[in-house]
Amino acid sequence: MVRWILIFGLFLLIGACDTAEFSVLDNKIVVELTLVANEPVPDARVSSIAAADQRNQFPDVAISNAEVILTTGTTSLRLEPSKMTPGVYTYLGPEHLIQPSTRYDLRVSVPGQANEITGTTNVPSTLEILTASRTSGTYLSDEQLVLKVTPGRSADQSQSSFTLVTEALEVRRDLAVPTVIGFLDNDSDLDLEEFRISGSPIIAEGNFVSFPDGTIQLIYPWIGVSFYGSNIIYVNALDENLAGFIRSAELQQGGNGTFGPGVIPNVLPSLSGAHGLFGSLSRDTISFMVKPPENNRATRHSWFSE
Amino acid sequence: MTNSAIRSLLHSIQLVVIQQVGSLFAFCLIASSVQGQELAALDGFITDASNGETLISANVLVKGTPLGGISNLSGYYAVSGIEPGTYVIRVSYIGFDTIERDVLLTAGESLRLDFALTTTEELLESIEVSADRITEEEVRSIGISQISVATIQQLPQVFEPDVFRSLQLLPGVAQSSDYSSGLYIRGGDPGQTLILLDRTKIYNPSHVFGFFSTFNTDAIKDVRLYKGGFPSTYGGVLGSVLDVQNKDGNRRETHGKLSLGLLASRAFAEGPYSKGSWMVALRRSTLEPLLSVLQNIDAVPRAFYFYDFNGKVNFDASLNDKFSLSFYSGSDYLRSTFTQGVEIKLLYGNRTVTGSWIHLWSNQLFTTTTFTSSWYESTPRATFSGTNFEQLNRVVESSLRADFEYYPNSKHSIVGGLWAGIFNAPLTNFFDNREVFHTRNRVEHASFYLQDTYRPTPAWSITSGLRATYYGYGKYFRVAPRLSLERQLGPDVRLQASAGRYFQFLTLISNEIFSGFDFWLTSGDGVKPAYGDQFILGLKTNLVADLTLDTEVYYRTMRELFVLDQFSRGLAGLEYRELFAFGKGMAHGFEVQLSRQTGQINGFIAYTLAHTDRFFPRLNQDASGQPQPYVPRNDRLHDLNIVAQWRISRRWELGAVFTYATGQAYTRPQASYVVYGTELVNGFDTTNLLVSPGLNQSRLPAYHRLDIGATWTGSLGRFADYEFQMQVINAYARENVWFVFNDFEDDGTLTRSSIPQIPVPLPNLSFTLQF
Repeated sequence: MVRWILIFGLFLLIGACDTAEFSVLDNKIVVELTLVANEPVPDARVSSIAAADQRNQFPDVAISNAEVILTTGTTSLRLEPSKMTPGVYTYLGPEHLIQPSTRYDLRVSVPGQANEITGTTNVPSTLEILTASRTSGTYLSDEQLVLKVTPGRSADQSQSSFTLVTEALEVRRDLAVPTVIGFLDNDSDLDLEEFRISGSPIIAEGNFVSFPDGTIQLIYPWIGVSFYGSNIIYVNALDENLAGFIRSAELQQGGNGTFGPGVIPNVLPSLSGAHGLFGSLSRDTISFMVKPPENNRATRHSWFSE
Repeated sequence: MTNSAIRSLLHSIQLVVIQQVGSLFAFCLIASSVQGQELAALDGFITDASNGETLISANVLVKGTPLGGISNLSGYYAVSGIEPGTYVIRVSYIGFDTIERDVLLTAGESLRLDFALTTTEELLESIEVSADRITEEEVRSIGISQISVATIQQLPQVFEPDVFRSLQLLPGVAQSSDYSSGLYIRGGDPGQTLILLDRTKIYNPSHVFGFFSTFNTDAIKDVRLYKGGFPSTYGGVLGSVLDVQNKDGNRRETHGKLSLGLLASRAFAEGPYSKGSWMVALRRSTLEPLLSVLQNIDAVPRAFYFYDFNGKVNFDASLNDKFSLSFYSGSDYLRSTFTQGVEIKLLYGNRTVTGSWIHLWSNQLFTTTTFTSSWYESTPRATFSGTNFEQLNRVVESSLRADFEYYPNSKHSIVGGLWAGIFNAPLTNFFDNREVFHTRNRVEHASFYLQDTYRPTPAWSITSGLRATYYGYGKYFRVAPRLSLERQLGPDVRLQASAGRYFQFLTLISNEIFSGFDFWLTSGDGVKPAYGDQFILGLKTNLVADLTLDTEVYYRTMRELFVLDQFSRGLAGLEYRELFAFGKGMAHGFEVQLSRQTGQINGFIAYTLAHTDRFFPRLNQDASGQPQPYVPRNDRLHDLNIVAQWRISRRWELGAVFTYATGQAYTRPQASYVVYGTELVNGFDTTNLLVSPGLNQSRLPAYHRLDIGATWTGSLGRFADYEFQMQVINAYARENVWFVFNDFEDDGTLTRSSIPQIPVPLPNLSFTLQF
């Protein structure tokens, strides 16, 4: 029997060896540039990643001697290093508005870095709010804001990826909705100002009604409102790079994923040779006045009223 | 092992299997017609004499011959091809007295011989070792592990005796954390294990959102785990099968049982009636008083409960016809308010019904016809600032299956069957009271399997089988060959080998932390079924009188894996195939288990050396953008479990479980960066990002834990017996790490916090009254 056990042991040695190799951090550079359709060329930022145990403040990691060139077709736009803010690069040439439905390429060279940094974005088509159902509504009532918008899609997208961002023009505790009051009461570290701007996760076009003429009906959910009063609502249509980046960031923060705890994927790359973001979006805005409900009580159907 | 080598080997296996199965019937018909006129046969049921419960995998041996049999899931055995003469028939089963009975068999005789095994006082006390060597051949077949229900009920465990947490002690079965009962078997995910209760699939076998499994141990008779290399009888999963059988109910006397625990209480009753037996078992959480006291604490749910209900009725229509109807219903309910305007309500649960008819056509042919119905629903609902989120997630499956076992002669035993059903899994998401996603995967499916176990000599056993499956969504037809060999190398050594292909048509979308949202998606148009190959080599030895040493080495592949694409921007508006990310994986390992199942001190030592990895194109890309394989969290290089039970006296029993495992894989970011211009895109003025050299490239500190327990039993005269259990989980307060949480300080410095598993000794008390 011992002989058989020994023979079997040989099989085990062959079968049960453990090998594992892991990649290393090679890219050190971080580039950030987000183009907005029909708006001027924005500033770019070039910096380096910070080691996990180091401070990560932009001035500390900024890189000021990079060459940043944005091109579209035959047009080449050079972004110059800012003299005021190290690591920021500004376009100083003749006015150029970012063209919707157009491809832009980015090339960044950093002295001492062997690999060139490149990226491509396809700017979504113009997103325009065609109609709005109302200019004001009572919080949690059926008076929701309904918008009809053009799709805002880039050439490589089968459907739009939207985010809705709400900016309150007046930030006061007495204007805060009950949920914000609840958060503030539960966490003394929170500041009212942190709720001034609130954003949605990415909402795919399929969540909304599409019309035969290609336009889309967006119904603004009350979850977006943090303060009664005047609010500006930004409707964004993101390109693939920006949508992938935002989704990656959500996953890193543990949002809505099926990864186990402690499993943190890196951000989907939008650049070759660098970390960061090179993306684009189309955007339109609208003002909306939110009125508090009578007696400050929610009147909307909730599962908990069942 | 290369892909071409695997394909070549599988092709060879397929040819062998097809040739063997193809010639099977003709051979068997000839053999049975020739031998049936000259030889004799035995068959019957094997039961526990004390309560009439059928015994699964009891051994029957015709002494002086190599002939024998093993009782099936219905307790039925058959031995054919016996030369006429006088024999001693020996029947053995662990924990029971071995029976020997003299029989005279005449030419052509078919003798129905039922056995009722008894337990002697010595064995009850477990003080003396059984004189007979217990081989338990079926239980020690390749890939199979078993843990008795009695052991599950005695082991120290968190709050409740739990089937899954007990199975996690077996070699090859890993746990994800103290808070999860999920089964990670031989590198597979929980969704790769088929979980059956009385032949009916359970789609979410969890309570308390994954903390416990759904099985009430009072109601269970048998728990059998096929870790890999499972026979053609089973299909539809890549990895493993857990087959749980409900008790039939006591056929002799009416009995009851009441148990009070810290988390839940249980009631159980069973008994006979004129034509059979019945059994009911109820378990419900009893946390309401505690919750009402703690209502002022924000994190405490406003309401929470779980319950389950098992029942079974058996109707013995005749000696040759037995009917049974079993059912299960279980649910969890949670209602919580996190802060003003933020509320969540969740109800999820399973219901199953199984009806079966067992018929003995002759002592050579045994059939089981089964109707199964399984229903699972999960409806998480949340309201956030007046905006409602809801998911309606349901699985409804009904099926009819017919299985046969045919024993044409002493060298062949054939099993086969047909299974057809309808799987319906509607999944609908609502946002702000509007439907935003709906998929209705209504799938007709049918399977056919045929398997022959051929014993050319007493030392050899060759089991070959084919399983063919048609899956309506996508119109997939898949054939899975299976082959296993066993060679008796000596009286105490068996060498086993197995190879086979396995297909999986469903994928479980689950979050390890919270199983209440689990849902299933299917293969379909543009989404091929996943498949994998398994190769296993095993050596089973009996060392001394009651010590066994079982070792296995395995290699398995997982291909065409389809999981929900985590980088997808929601489900709405996507083509079906766009919902998924496609990948592959592999696992290999070595398992050893040293067991002592009888005696005053018994238990086992289980060790696993293993590795598994996964490959999905958009996960774990290297610096050049090339995807690299990564290890999932459940990968463990070393996993050691020591389980010991010591019966000190008739009244006292001590138990201990020690676990040591390599720390879990996790992602340890080594750098970070900040993106500043996203405030009007996602609402955050800065977005902090983590950079890691690879997914799950680091290891948490090693996991180890000791649980201890004592059981005191006694009698309240003739009225009842009682049992008082005192247990301490994590006896030496090991602070095992669950995961590492990364956060940023205001200056951008990354901080890491270790989130603990059960960090302190956790007491557990229970009292059981049995009458």
